This record gives sequence, C-alpha cells and structure tokens, in this order.
Amino acid sequence: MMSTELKMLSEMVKIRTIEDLIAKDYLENKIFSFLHLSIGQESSAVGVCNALTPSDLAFGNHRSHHHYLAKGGDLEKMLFEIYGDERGCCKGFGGSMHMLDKKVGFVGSTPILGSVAPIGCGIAFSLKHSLKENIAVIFIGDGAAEEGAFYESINLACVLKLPILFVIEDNKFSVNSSVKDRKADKYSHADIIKGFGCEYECVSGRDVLNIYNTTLLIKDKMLKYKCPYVLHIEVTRGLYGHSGPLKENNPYYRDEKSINDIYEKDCINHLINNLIEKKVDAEEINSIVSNTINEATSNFNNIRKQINLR
Amino acid sequence: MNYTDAIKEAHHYQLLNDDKVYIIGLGVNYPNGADGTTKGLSSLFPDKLIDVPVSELSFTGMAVGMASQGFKPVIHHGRIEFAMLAFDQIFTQASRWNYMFGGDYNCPIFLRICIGRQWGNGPQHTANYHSIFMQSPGLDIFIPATPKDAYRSIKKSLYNTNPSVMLEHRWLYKTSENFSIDECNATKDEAFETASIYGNGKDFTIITYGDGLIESLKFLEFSNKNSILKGRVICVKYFSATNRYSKNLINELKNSSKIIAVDTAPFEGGILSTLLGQFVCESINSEISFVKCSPEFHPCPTSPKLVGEYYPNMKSIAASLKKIGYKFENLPEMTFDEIHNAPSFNFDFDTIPVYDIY
Repeated sequence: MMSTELKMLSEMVKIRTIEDLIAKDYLENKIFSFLHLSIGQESSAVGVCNALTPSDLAFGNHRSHHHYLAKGGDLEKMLFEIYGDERGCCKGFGGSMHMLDKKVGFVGSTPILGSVAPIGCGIAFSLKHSLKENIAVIFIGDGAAEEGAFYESINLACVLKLPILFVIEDNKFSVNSSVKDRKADKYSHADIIKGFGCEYECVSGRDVLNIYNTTLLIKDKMLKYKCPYVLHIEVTRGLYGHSGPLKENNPYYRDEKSINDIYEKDCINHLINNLIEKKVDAEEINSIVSNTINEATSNFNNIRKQINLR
Repeated sequence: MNYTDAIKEAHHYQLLNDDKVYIIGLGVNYPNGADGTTKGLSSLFPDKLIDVPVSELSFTGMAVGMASQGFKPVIHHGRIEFAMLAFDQIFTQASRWNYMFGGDYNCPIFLRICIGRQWGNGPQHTANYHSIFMQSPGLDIFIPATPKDAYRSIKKSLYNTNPSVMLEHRWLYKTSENFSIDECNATKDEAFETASIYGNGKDFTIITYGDGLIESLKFLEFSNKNSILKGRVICVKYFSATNRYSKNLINELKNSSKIIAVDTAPFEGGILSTLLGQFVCESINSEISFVKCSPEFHPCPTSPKLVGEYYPNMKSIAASLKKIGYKFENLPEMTFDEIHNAPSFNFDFDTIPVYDIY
C-alpha cells in the first residue's frame, strides 16, 4: 500500500508542478486558451484514477488537466494542445478544455458543465452493451451538478443500470459564487441522489488515500450490482481562482481567513503529514517531492522549447 | 409504401444489419411506437428499442456518448420543440465533436426530429426551426420530402461518420410512393442528392423543401394542364455537413429568371431565404426576379378557423407569381379537409420528369 501512496504523492506533485509552470506562461500572455487549473484539487483525480484500469473510460470537463494526467495522459500532447501547437492531443483545435488520450482511456473533456453527465451515460452504455467489465467515470464540479442534465442523468443511469461513476469535485465555488448563494440551507446531495435510488458517498478531498480506497470499493460494487454511483469529493480550490488563471492573494469571496488556512487543507501537505505520521522517512518523502519537481520541470522545459509561441 | 412505413422498413434494415444500432426515444418500443414509425420492431428486436425517461437532454446526450464509442444510436424526438431541450447535446457536443477533438473522433448520432405542420397542434407543436440546424457545421441535414427519400436518408446513416439529423415533416406521413427497397442501396461512398428537380419548364422555378413539395407539385401539374407558362420545382433534400450550399444547386438557380420560394415555414431567416441569399452573393449582375410564398410571421394557431390558409397552397403560389407578372386563373378551391388534414398524396407520376442534382 505504501508504494501506492508514494506513487500518488509523486503524481499530485507532478500535476501541480506542471500547472504552476503553465500558469506562469499564461500570466505572461503566452497562452491563448482558457486555462482552468486544478491546483488544490489534484487528490480527486489521482485518488480516483489510480483505482481504475486503462479500460475504464474517464471523461472530464473544463478543468481536467489533472484528470487527464492522472489517467496516464501524454504530457507532451497536453502541453502542445494548451499552447495551440498542432502536435497537441486535439491538434490545437480544442485547447486546454479539450483533453483527450484514448490510449489510456481518457476519452475526452468538454466544458459545458453538466453536459458531460449524459455523455458519460452513453460511454457507460457502450461498455455495458459491449459486455465489458469496466466502468465509465465522469468528473464534474459542484456548479455543474446543479444543472438539470446531471439530475436527469442520474435517473437515466439508474433506470438503465449503467456502470457510471459520477464524481462531483466540489470546491464550493461556481466561479466566485459560494454554495450559500446557490443552494438552499437544507440542500442535501445525499438525500437528493439517494432519492433517485442511486448510491452515494461523500469523502474529503484532503485524503487521497481514502479517495483511492473508496473508489476501489465503489468500482467493485458497481460491477457486481450493475449500478451507477455518485462519489462526492469535497476539495479545496488553490489560489489560482476559477479561470484565467488569476493569482488570488486575498480572495474576497472565500471563508478562509488567510492563505495559510487554504494551505492547511491542501491535499499534498495532508498526504505528506500522513506519511510522516506513519513513520516514513522524511528524507525519502522530500527526495520524492524534489525529484518529481525537477523531473517535471525539466520535461516541461524540453517540451516548451519545441513550441513556437507566435 | 407510405412515409411512415418507409421509415419503419429502414429501421428494420438498420437493426438487421448492424448490431451497434439502437433506437432510443419516448415510447419507441410501443406496439405502434413513434407515430407508427417503429411499429412492431420491439417485438423483433426487444433489446434494441429503448424507452427512456422524459429527459430529452440526457437521453440525447447518452446517444452522443454511445456514438463516440462506435455505436450507432438513432434518437427520436416527436416534435422539434422537444428536441430543443437537447440542443446543447446536438449542437455544442455532437456537431462539434470531431472538429474540436482534432478530427479523428467520430460521433455518428442519427437524430429523427419531427417538425412542422399538423392539424390542431398549435403554436407550441408546429415550429419549423430548420434554419437553426443550418448554422451548425459538422451536422448533416436530411429533409426527406417523399417516402423513398425517408427510407434512403436512414439507410445512408449506416455509413455516415458525421452526426446527422433527419427533419421529418409529419404532414407527409400519409403520403405514398412506389419504390423497390432493393434498389435503394446506400453505400459508403454514394453521394446523396442535394435536391431533386421536378419538371423542366423554363418560365418559372419553384424552390421548396419538405412538405412544401406537395402543393408545389400540385401547382406544377395545374400549370402544365391549364397554362402556357411552364415551370419546374426544385426540392432541396440534403444539406451536407461540410458544404451547405451545393455549387450545382446554385448553378441550377442561375438557369432561372423567375424564382418563387415556397416555404411552409415563415420565410424570415429560414433556409430558403439563406439559400437565395447565397445565390444572390454568387450572381452579381444577373437579372432574376424573386418572390416568396410563405406563412405570415407569427406562429401557427390551433383553431382551424384561425389557421385558415396559413400555409402555402396552389392559390397562394399563383397569387405570389402574379407579383412578378405571371397570371394563373381558375385555380381549384380547396376543401376543409385538404387544408387541415394530412394529405394522402401519391408521388408516382409519369407526366413530370424527375432528376437529381448533387
């Protein structure tokens, strides 16, 4: 199990390193594509995708660099796509919101929020009717989960018994609108989703290991009982805001009083602390983190060198 | 064979020949499903006709996901107004799918959408929003005007790698046409005609589509018999995903000096107005007269008294032609049933030559 935790640590650090580097270029006006960063939310992608096989098919949304990379998507093709290079995963036609690597079972991402849920049902339908022992996974945000498409899709998936896992990556914000502006005080995901007859589980996004273990169990159940599932992961948005990215040093719309409060909830820090508590050698952890940062940075620079920006 | 049976026979062919085909929609598995167009099929293919919750957006989106994984879903929407709940999936997802993912990712969803005129259906069940589809590159549009067209449009979809929509004028469901199914061989490379031309008169050209064809042909027969003025009817039947305005069609129009657009939808922003707009763009210096015959710019009401002669008919076509100096007299009065009930028109005639352009 420890090797899985270390692998997930390395994957989360890699994703964050790459996104930090892309953000820098964006802020210097070198990227002409929307950019929605996953920083702070890496755990949901890494935890879920590590419980999947390449034949399980995942589909993402406007914010899906982390899902793509966690599923094993090709880094080079992702960066080319974001920078508008024809060698990108969508030959530059899509940009950052269209990640695609069919070879590893990341069968696309599209940015029309709840729209992804019905598409996921179709992917699950195709798996079921091809008699494959695999599941479809879609990632959507808490805002997207307010759209009718999402509710319709849960019902449809329950009626048709589709092997689809809906992952709600809940960072509490739709752009900058907080939950209290969008949902009634008594709104309950659990009651609503279970009310459809759908299985539901809610976990913290701080704990990647728990996300991983929960997804393993969910996948087993889904294949055994031929049912859909909703996994609700409460993640913490990092400091780049909804889109842009912005570097939000003092986000007015958040409850956290300081940047430190945000860092304290961070999934990577949480995993490192956990590993230390489990008596893993701190130096080993540090070297994994620094090696990953160095390797990712050097990979990024090598790819970046090949791109003609203008 | 009538239009309804032609659709059913085409589905039967699809289901027999491709196990990736699923027909999905509200009530498609009823014994007389989809207004009779899936009648009896669910007893032959019980797993392939799938009734679904009243969730147009999500079951259409499910078909998009299926198509992306190599399946061949057929989606039935009983009215255009219902399909509009799924426009996100039709336009923003399916139509752009292959393009936005870089060109190696097909999404061959086939949409059957009933559209337009029908007795007593009123303002919210008779819209004619063909033109919305026109503005979406990547989407093939079939507007079958005859039973044989309907059969072939569906059969063609077996080989289509694009998403496609068949806009079905329900007004045509009782029309009939003699044709041999065996002669309707669709193949992968076979082109689909962009329009059919009925007749070869030189004095005027009627351009129309869908259920506009019936009154247009009736008018053509009348003028052939009763007037020295001879015309022809161009019925547009297919708009390609990559090229909406076929060169050959535009050139055909250039051979006309008086053109009348017979549109069963309000002309404003409609597919004939954009087609003629394109034609004008490509016909600098030509001296061609245009006139339109189309409903007034308001929705179709429910009461037959209010509907009146909202839709084009032989008389209103003649009245429009009068505006460009052509006089036709003694047109027959239409009965109540002719105006308000779907026609059992038969498309077999040996007096009018028909040829296709691509």
